[in-house]
Amino acid sequence: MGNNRRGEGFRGKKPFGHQGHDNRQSYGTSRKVSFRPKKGSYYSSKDKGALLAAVFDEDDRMGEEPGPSHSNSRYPTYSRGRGKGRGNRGSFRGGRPGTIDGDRARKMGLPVGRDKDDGGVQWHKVTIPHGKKCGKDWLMQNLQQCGTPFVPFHFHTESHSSVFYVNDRLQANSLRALSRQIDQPSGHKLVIITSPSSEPSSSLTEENTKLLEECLGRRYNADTKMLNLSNLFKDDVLSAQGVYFALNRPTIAMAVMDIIKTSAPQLEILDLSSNRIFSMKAYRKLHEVAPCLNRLNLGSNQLKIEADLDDLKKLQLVELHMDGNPICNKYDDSAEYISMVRKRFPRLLTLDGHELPPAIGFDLDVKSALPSIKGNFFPNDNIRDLVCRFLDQYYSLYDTNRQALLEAYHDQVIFSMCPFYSKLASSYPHKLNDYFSDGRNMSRVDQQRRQKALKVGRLSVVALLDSMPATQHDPSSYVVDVNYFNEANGILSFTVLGLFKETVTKHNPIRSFSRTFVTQAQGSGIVIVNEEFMITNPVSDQLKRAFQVPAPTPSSSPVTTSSAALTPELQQEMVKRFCMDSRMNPEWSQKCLTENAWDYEKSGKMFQDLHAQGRIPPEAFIGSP
Amino acid sequence: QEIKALSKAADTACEQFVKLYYETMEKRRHMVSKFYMDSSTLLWNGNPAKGLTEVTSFLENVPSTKYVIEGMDTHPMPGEPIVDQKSILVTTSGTVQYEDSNSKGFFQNFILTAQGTTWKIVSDSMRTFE
Repeated sequence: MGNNRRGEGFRGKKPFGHQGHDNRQSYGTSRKVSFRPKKGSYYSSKDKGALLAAVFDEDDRMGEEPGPSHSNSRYPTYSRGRGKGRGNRGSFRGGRPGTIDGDRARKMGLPVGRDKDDGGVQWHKVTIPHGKKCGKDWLMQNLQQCGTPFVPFHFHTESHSSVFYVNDRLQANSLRALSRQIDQPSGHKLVIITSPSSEPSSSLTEENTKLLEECLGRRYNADTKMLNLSNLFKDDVLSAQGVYFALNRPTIAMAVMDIIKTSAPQLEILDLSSNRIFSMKAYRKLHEVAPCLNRLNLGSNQLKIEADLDDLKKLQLVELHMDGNPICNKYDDSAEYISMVRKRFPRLLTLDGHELPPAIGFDLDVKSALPSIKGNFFPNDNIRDLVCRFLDQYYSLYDTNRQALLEAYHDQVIFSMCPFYSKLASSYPHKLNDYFSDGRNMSRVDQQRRQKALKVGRLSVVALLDSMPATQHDPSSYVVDVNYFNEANGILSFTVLGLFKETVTKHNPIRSFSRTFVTQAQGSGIVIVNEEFMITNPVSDQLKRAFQVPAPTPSSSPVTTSSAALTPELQQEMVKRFCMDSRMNPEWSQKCLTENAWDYEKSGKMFQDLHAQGRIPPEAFIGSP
Repeated sequence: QEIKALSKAADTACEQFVKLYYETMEKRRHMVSKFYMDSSTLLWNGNPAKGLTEVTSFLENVPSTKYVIEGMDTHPMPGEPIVDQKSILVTTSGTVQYEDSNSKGFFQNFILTAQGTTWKIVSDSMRTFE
């Protein structure tokens, strides 16, 4: 197939339109509809002319290669013998000793000499010393005398000088010829200095970002879901405004991806050809920005190494164009080239316009894909209503009056809380210190702490909940899964994931939680018999979404964090319970609880210790129930 | 006192389970069906699977996986609420990496029940977040 590549069949299938080069090529008519550029080329006839001239100017290898390859010589493929001719820049590639090729120089920030990779565009920096005081309008008006129409790109001032760029050597020469020919308003001769330069890139001011957005809008075809960014630096509209966006600059690449993400996430076809892109690093997140993207044209760029494709391998590409990149020249054997690309894009069907033979693999190679993430899971509507009603009530009390949650818990409820740090949220600055003393993360705490941290009975559970930082929950963050349901005995288990904010803690940290409730039917409702409460810090995406939907009723949470603020009813219930457990009378039970800040377990432990030491007077047990 | 003993037993079961289960998911996926039983249910990010066949076929199709457990906790479930057998609730959390995608956070919980001398998963429920 290596030899046929340049034949008619190949050319006829080239699906992306390389607009600027078309004049020399008679493509067949069988282009795929999906890749056909929108009517009305982005390039005026003048542009084409200029480009064509540049092509001839450069292409001194024309006469050296035998017939059939002429028409395709602008499209170096992965075939043997490309770029070996005398006078072909290709021979300088790979580094003649002691020379630095244009791309390396460009990467190193050096001004580039005669680099014509890009079809004749040659940036020159034009500097006009003391131009600042003449003003831009005056300069532009007078510089027209040079006779060659030009667009001043990225016009700005550097100290007293006016600086801009032109993208054509002829323009630069004409401007230089004008040096010392014009009188400034001050009477001095206007000096014009030009020098070859690497490309400028317009900075992303607010205004320029808007221009970029408009430009992408013009170049996006919503019907075919195709974004054609080919030759972006030749964009007529942008050029007319002296704006130049280099897609090889990470900042521009990021900005483009941001726009795609917000405006065209359904993008399927992207043409980045002829943009002098030398690294795809900045495009690594393309698969996240445009998950449907499956056809990509990287033709006629400066990609040299396989790692450039590694950066893109998460894209599920079915079609790719790489021709016209130095990397293609590295492969003498087309089979090797195809296999190199296919390794990265196993689903590829078309490469550089060739249909690829179907790959033969093993059943095991079929990648198993995970199903998409779904919302809440409820087995039926009754359970949905029950659980939603419960959560509604539960969290409104939780955020305002936790003691009132007593009713939600079964007498013998078992509860524990498990705070943990996630490495995904390691940059979140607010520590979980308020939770660790009562935490029961088994991967961190020992047997003794585990016993202590297991809360049994609703009094100790509510006392613990009440001692935790005051909160406000974000109902829009909830995801609810009903994971077990037994109609026979009324057991229902469900998990709520979500976010809350600590309302009185300094900086109001946001936490991510998962609470698994096991409940039992009771009357028309349910009571909690088991609960596991996991708390961690939020990851950045959660933070972005947190509290985006304003709470329907902004609650003026009466905040009570101290357990001394327990209601008298609850205190009475605790006393009653303590009497039963300790066999002390109510008076002494209350004394013990009060002295231990109404911490039921602490009180119990204190009682046991003192009792074991025989330090509790007998009268404490008189009159106990 | 009774709860204390139950809790100790639950802790031991949980520690063994977490180690074995995630190891099996990572390295011996074909054995994962051994953890489930006929009536097991599974929820993965809201996608349900019911019964041993559905559950194991779902898990066998999950891309290769790497877990890091960061939090883990367990309770006894007294009163034998699940099919009149001794049962425990296990919750875990940490990060999971599917194939070569980025690590995601996850919360997972299981209800385990003792069938004779082996623990089986009654329900398995997992959510990832990133």
